Amino acid sequence: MKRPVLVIGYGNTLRSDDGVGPAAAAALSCDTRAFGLTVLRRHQLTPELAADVATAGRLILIDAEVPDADWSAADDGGGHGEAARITVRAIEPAARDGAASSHHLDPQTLLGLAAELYGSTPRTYLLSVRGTTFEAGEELTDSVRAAVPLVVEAALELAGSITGA
Amino acid sequence: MTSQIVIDPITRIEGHSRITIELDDRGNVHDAHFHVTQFRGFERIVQGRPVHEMPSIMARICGICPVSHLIASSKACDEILAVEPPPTGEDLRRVINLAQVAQSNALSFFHLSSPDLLFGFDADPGRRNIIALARENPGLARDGVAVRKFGQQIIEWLGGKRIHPSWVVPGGVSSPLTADVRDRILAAIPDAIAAVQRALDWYKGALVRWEEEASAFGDFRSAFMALVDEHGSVDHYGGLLRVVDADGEVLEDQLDPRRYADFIGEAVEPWSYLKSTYWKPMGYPEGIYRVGPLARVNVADSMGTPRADEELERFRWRLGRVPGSSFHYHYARLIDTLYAIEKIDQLLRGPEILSERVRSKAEVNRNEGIGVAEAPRGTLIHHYKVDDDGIVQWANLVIATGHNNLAMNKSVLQVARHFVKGDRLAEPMLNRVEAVIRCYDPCLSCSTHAIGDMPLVVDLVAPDGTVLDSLAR
Repeated sequence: MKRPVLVIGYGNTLRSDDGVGPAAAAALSCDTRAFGLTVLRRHQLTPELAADVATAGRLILIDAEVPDADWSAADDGGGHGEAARITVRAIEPAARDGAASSHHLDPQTLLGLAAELYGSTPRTYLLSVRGTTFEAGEELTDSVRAAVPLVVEAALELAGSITGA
Repeated sequence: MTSQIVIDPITRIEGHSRITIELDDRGNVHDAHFHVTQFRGFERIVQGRPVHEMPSIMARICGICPVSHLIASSKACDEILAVEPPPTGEDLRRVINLAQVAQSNALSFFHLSSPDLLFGFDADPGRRNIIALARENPGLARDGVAVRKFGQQIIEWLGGKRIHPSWVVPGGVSSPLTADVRDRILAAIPDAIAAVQRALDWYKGALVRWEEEASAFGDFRSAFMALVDEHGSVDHYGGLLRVVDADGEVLEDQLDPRRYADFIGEAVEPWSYLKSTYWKPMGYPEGIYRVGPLARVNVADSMGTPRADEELERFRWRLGRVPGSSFHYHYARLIDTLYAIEKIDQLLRGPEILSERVRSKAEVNRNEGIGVAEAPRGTLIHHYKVDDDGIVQWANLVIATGHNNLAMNKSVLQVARHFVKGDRLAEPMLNRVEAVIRCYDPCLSCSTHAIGDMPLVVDLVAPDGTVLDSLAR
């Protein structure tokens, strides 16, 4: 039986662009091409997700990225309607958990936990959207909001829904 | 010779804090403090907000135990509206509250504390983490994942989402339970009970390894406080407050928690944003009492569910009627979790649990309301004052972790004096100092709240630490 594709969009929807993960997951849930995908919206990656991750055939994580100190808004269009930068990278399981807190995990540790507990980890991709602001607020900035449809397309492509792979 | 040891941050707890240990000239521990370094300010944020918004706002105090704040806040709003939720609405609030207790207790025991319990407090810090736990005892780790998932899933099925659900509202809950959701939860209960039972069996077998820690991890005489029902059994949602002393003698019983200000005082120390509550009849700072899982099992006559009562009997046979060591929070937490799951099962089998009458509605009828419930970490109090239009004028929150602040500080000092030697510092010593805080499972994001006005103090400090000038407003 083909194992499902699991998409997890995570982030704090009360911290402006940190909410792009859940926003993209919500948009994906409304896209008919996502039929058959399991799409979750979460505040954080938490240990109990290891059970879901272990049964997935492919895992796509969507999160915001904090820009580097030398970044400026002009790098991503400066709010002139251009979309924020999206990066895609493959994620491997961690051999150890270096976090000071275990009630939320980084992607590598989540995969490592799934590997240790259930002997299985899917091919995993992290879609990162570079955020502009992470202050208190419920709205995405213009460039990040413009990136959401692009994230949806990228997620569908990674899931193989477009190519049928 | 060092004169102060700073542990910053404290790891594997929720929130931000540090511990300072003061040494005398001979390198012996002189004093120690637990500093909570977060400041929130919700009491000011909510001023001017309509009272019906309060549960949603207050749920956002915390991402670990938002349901606890939903419950206490909604109960305060019930008072202001002068309504009683319909029986089914109250039972459904109990179900989601207990699911919260199960998942939060599971997080504390399985993920935050069990690396120490499994590998020992002297183990390489690189091993004391969730991956190594999974590698060493995958069964225990899987059970932790399962119980967390059980609780979180119930919260999502009932409340719509796992973090900051909005289903609990003033007057009851916003929608009835469906037969489908009820049956899904009931189907998950046997596995959840089995997981907790396995953890209890493992823990009881391993407890003998920690005799020294148990004798030094906050082992002192104090009062304990918790809600109990009319039969003297544990009650996480309603009931009245009972306070017992270190020998189990009842100091006060059948206390209306809405009169909390008559017997609970709140104090502030300059070295922490966490308020310290104290038992007023004994004064400050002597009036130390503890809340949370250990308090619940010490205060109540019984748990009220069969397996949990059986485990409570074994607990008391082994440790005494009122064990005073905070190390035993771990054991009590597992019994608390077992009770929560059993009680969810009982509630869902009630004949009216699918009733569509789940909410009472009214406008503002009182200008003050107090809501109290047992959060995973202990007694939680929300107190609001509103004007005639229902606009919040004032709020006070007394958080479980605040009730335990004096005890946590006393515990840190006791552990430091027992294990820390200033002339030969070793990481395991400091790990034990952190570990005593983990016994209490503090929720520091929840816990920092204001009383009265908050002065702003600015100190001008020289590089050597000398305060050159100070301004206060």
